[in-house]
Amino acid sequence: MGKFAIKLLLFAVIFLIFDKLFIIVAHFSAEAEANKRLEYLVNGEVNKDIIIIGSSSGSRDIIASQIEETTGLSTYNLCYPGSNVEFHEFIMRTLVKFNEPPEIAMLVVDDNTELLHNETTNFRKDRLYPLVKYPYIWRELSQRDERDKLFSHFLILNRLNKYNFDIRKKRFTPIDTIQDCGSMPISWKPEDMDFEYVSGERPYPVGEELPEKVEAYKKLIETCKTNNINLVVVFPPFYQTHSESFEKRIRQLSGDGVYYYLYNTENPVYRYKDNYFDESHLMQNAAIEFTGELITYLNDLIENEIKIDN
Amino acid sequence: MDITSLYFISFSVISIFIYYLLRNEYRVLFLTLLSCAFIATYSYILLIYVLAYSLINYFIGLKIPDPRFKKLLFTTGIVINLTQLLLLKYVTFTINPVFELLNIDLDFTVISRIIIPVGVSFFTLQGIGYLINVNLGWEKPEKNFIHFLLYISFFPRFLSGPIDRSNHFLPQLRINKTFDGEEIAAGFRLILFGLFKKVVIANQLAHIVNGAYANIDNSDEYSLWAVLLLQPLYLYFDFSGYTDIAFGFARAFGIELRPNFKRPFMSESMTEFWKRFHISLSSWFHDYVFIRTSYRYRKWGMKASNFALFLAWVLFGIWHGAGWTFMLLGFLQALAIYYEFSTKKLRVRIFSKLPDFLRVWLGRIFTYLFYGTSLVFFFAPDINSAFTFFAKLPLLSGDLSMVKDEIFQLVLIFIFIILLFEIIKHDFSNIFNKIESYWLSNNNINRIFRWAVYCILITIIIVFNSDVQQFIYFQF
Repeated sequence: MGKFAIKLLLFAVIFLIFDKLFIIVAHFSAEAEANKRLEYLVNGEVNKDIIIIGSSSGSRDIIASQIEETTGLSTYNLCYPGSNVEFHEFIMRTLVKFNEPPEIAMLVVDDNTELLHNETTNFRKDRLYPLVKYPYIWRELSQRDERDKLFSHFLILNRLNKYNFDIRKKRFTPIDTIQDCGSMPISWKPEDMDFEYVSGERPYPVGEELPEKVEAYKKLIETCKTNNINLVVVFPPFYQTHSESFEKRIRQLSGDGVYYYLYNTENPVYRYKDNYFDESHLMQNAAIEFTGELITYLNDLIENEIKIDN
Repeated sequence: MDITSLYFISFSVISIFIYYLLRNEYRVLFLTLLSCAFIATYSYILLIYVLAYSLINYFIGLKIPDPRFKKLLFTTGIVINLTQLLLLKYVTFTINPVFELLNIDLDFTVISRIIIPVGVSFFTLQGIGYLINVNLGWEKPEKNFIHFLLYISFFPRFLSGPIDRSNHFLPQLRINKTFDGEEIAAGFRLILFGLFKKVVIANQLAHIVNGAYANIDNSDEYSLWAVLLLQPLYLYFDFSGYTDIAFGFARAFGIELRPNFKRPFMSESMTEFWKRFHISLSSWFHDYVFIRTSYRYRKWGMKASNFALFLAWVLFGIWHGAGWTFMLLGFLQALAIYYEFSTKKLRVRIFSKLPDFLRVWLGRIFTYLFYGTSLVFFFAPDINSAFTFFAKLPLLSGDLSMVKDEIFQLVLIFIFIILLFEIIKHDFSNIFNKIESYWLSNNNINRIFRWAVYCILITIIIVFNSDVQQFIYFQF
């Protein structure tokens, strides 16, 4: 038995040495990424006055560079298409951990689905895996039960995912090109894209909210308050009637000290189908219009309510 | 505890060494405690339930040989076993609808929500099998409760089998075991191979198959065809992967489990297929339902066999779960076997004119296609979804986007290699034996090569293991 145990131990040692070679894969998979925003965050390179957080509607509908040029305040868009509120909370937490907290954070919420089960949004683990060379990132994955924390301490392989091994340089495709300011406006759409206007007030099902999402939302607000960040919850245009019951629920959850911006529901631009890529995202021209509206609101807010030290 | 997790693997490997360090008389107790601890990781209530279940069957088994109570005790034992299975697994299909009809406001599903009946379908068949064996005098009742408890709860096979026979498992516990490095190494190889099948192949196919069934209405037709062709492979790699892991650990502990798979896709008929696929379950229904029923109604002649055949296979289907889909799954298997039996002479006359190679491969392909088609009733959530699946197939339109995925292509290559090995093992056993003896020969170059391959396999398994998917048979 002793001989067998020694053989097994020897194999384990050889495997542990072999495992350490994969630090190279972890390094190169970060290098190969085209979307560097999360890495900038972890490296403390996102020290901006205004930050935008949210899912695809935030990344498509709000153009950070336009805000920066008009207001003179440095602005960066950290919205990730397909991400949910748990991911937004993670982004906010990472932002304040490694960077100077912004003066203003805009959280773009998805009308009705923000706190509900939604097939199209999730915690974007795929954005974390390329950065597993950072202990902060693999610890986050471990906490989310993605990997055994104990084994990740001494096994590099246990931090990696199969997609880490694709170390070819990634490139943006037309649909996911990220501008220098972090925004992703869309200026084209396929001809066969079809969708219908959803009219009428839809009752918001509070009972169907996912507790983990509600918890993440509250935590995000708490992080902003703790770090003296002025949080603006933004309700962007969707090709549907704005849900007032959803807005009411968000206001109820947010508590005091949070600002809200609802798009101009009277503006005909948001009724015109051609100004939408699909039912939840504006085309670039309409995004410029919406960002313009938002700038007016921000200017007003800065003038009257928020004191920003330059 | 997930049996593909590094925690489970590490604890089990350490346990193997502790097991052999113990004196022989303590080893069964140690394995029993390990198994109880394993069950407790799912639920303490489940552990208490398994203990109570084992105790009841143990005492009934002990008393069955007494001629005064034999019939009464045996019947009571079977009724208790079936009732607990009914209460834990079939309430929504049987009791609740009756209560609804009678306007009685009682929901029995609360029992299964409290107990969390993991592995119940497997250990119930083991319990029933034991009582039948004792009742028929095929084996003597087990006097040692710890041995009996281990028979019910042995952790490598507790979740998803294979379903063991008491007269196969219990005698092994009385044999003194000595440490055999070769056997343990063979066990580890099986575990490694099982993990590879489950984590690297089955888990990747799971996305495609489960994704399609979760959204049949929006799946394109080409994808459904792909699912139809892939689902037997998915089920096989998932379940045989689990079985290999169970076999590997059992072997390392010096226990041999009953075989569950024997290269099923080499079968030339459905009759042969079910002698090669999930053998422990199909043979259980064969021995305890088909044979017993045929014997009981032997006066009916052939009709008794036909009745027993359909009864056994419909029960086989229902064993998988409460629902019409599973019933139809079992019925289709019975129909195929009945067809094969009743047309055997005619088919032999026609197909004997074909060259051997063509005949064999036609048989294999048809068997695979029939099984793949019948599996729609296994994976579809309900009967309507199953028929929607079939209705969409002839339309033939869509886009096989999965083929462009590089991971999927890699998985297909792995599948091809493993199936190629199965073909070689089955059709060219001499060549396979040569490869195997070369692979296991103990010269230094071979050892280095072997260890390098193990390192690569472990690497692939760990990396792919981030996609944790439940074993399909875990739900049973």
